[in-house]
Amino acid sequence: MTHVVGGAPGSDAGAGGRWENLQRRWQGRARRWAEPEVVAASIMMAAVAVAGGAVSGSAVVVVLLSVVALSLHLAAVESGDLNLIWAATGLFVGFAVVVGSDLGDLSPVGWTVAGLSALAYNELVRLSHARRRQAEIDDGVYGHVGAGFALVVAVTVAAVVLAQTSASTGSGGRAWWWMPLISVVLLVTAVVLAVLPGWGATKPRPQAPWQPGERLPPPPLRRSRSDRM
Amino acid sequence: MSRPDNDGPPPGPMPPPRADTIAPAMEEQAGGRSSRPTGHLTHRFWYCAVFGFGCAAISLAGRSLEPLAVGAPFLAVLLLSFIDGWWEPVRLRSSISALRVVEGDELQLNLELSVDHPVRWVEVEVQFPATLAPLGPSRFVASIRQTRHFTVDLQALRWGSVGPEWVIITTRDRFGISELVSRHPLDHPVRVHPPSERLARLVSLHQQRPVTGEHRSRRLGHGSELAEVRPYRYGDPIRMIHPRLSGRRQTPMVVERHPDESSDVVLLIDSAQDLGVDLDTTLRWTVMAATALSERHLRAQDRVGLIDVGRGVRWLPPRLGRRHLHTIVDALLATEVNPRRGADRNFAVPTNLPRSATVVAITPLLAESVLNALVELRGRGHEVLVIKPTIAFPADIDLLARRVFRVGNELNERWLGERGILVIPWSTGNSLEHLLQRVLVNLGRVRVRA
Repeated sequence: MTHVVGGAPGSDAGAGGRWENLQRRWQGRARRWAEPEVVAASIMMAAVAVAGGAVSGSAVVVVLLSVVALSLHLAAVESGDLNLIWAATGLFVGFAVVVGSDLGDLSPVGWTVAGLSALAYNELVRLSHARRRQAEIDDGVYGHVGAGFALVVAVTVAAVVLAQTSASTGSGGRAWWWMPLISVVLLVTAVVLAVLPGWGATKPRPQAPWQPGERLPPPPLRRSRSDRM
Repeated sequence: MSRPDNDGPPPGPMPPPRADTIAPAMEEQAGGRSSRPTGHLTHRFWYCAVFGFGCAAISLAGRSLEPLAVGAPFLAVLLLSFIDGWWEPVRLRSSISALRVVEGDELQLNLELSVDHPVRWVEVEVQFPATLAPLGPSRFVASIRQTRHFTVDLQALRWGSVGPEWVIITTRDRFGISELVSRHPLDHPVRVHPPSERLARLVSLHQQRPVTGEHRSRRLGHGSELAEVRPYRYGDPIRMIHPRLSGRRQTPMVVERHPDESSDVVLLIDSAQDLGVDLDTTLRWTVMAATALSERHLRAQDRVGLIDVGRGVRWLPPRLGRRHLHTIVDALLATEVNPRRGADRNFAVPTNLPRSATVVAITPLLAESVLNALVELRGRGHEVLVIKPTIAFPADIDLLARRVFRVGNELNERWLGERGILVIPWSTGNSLEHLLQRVLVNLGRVRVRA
C-alpha cells in the first residue's frame, strides 16, 4: 500500500522497484570502480600481491594471496572502513617487504620504498573515498595531496640517507639511533603542544533551555566510519 | 549544475534575483550553539602514529635501521601535517536567490567561505529537506586560499515552507591528520507555491455585504449590469429614465440594474489527513484550490478568512486587501499534517465568524472532527459548501478496500446533504473553474432545500 498518510512529503517512497534500485546501485558501483584513484590502487595491490606470491614459486600461493589481497582491497574501497583500509595498507607493506627482500639484500632503500608505496596506496584509497555522496572534487586538492606526498618522499629519503650515512660513519655503526629518538621526541612534543590547550578547557555547555522553533543539530547523514578520516 | 567558483573575490555582485522574487542579502552564519566548531585528530593520525612509532620502537629494540625506514613515511606525514597547520577555522556567508517560487522552479543557494590562512582540504556539504532537491552535487571538496564561492542549484519539488537546512564544513590538513568540523544552520525559508490556478468565476454568495464588489445582487439598484427595461412608474427617480429608449417608445422608460455587492468568504481547509503519493495528494490540491479561491475573492472585494482544521484550529479572520492575501498564502504554505497531535478529536470552531459568511470547505471528508465542524457551522446559519478533492486510487489497493472507502464516503456525503451542506467532488486533474460552474448550478437547489 503506497498511501502516504500524514508524512513523507516529496519522498520517493514507492518510486521505482527493487530491480531499479539494484540497477542504480550497480551503476554507482561501476562508476566508483572506474575512478582513476581506485583503478590505480587496485593495480598497485594486484601487482604487489602477485609479486609477493611469486616469491614462493607456487602458482597456488600466488592465486591464494592475490584473492586474499584483492578481497581486502575490495572490502576497503566498498565500505570505506578505516580498519579495513589500514589492514589493506599493512598487507601491502608486507607484500612490498617480501618482494624487496627477494629482489635484493633488503637494504634500507628497499624498506623505504615499501613504506612509501604503502602510503601512496593509502592516499589513493583516501582520495577515492573523498568522492562519496557524489562529491565534486577540485583539481587543486589533488595537487595539494600530490605535493604533500612529494614532500613526504623527500623528507623520508633525506632522513633515511642521513641515518644510513651516520650509521656507516659513526662510532660502532650505531650513530643512527638519534634519528628515531629525535623524531619521537619531536612528534610527541608537537602533539602535546597542539592538543594540550584543548584538554584543560571545559567546553561551555549551552545553558539556555531549548526554545520552540530552535534548530537542533543535524542528525548524522549516513556517516560511515571513514567520514572521520 | 552545482559549481564552485574560482578563488579570489567574486566576479561581481551576487546573481540578481528574478523579477518575481526577492533575494535577501547574504547572511553571516555565526553564533548559535550548533555552529561551534569541534577540532580533533582523526583516526588517520592514530594509525600513522601507531605504525610509525611501532616501527621506530622495533628499530630501536632490534638495533637495525630497516624497520624505521618502513615507518619513516608515516612519521614524516605526522610531522609535515603539523607544519601544514591544524584546525583552520572557516567563515561562512550564504544567500538564496529567491524567497518565493512555484513548484518545479529552480533557485540557487550561494555559499561564500573565507579563511585567514590557506586551507588545503575543505569539505562542504549542504543538507536539504526532501522537498528541495539539488540538481547537481551538494558536496564539494576544495582548497581555499582566501575566499571561495559555491553555488548549489536547487529545485523546489513540493509546495510548502522549505529551505536548505545545514551546511557542514570540515577542514583538514592535506594529509588528513587533523579535522575541524562546524555545522551551520541555514535560515533561508523559501515559500514554494503550488501551481496557481486562475479563476474567472466566484463562489456564489448567500448574503451580501453592502460594499461594492463583483457579485451581482439578486436585488435591483445601482450597478453596472443590466437587469431589465420597464415603463416608468410613479416614485422612480427621474434620472433613471432612459432618454433614447423613451424617445423610441414615445413613453418614459426606465433601465434597471443589479447592484454590485460583496460578502465574506471563509475558507475551511482540512489538514487532518493527507492522502496520496508524491505530489498528487489531497492536501496539495486543497492548498491549490484555497489559494486560487482566496485570490479571486479578494480581488472581488470580498473579505476572506481562513480556518485550518487539522488537529487543532488555525484561524485568520476575514479581511480585505493584498496584504491579507499574502498572509493567507503564507498560512496555506505552512499547512502540514501534524502527526504528533492527538487522535481525531473534536475541536472548537471559532465563534466569531461573520454571520453573513459563506464557508467554503475543501476537505476529503475523512476526519470525523471535520464533519462535525461542518455541521456545527451549518447549524449556526452559515452557508457551507464542500469541495472534496478526490484522487485516483493507487493500483495496489484491492477492490474490497476501495468499495469500503467509497461506501464510507457516500454515507458521509449523504449525511452532510441531509443537513443542507452541498458536497461537490473535485477530480483533482480537472480545472477548478469547471468545478465552480458545477457549484453554481447546484447551489440554488440546496438553498431551496435548506
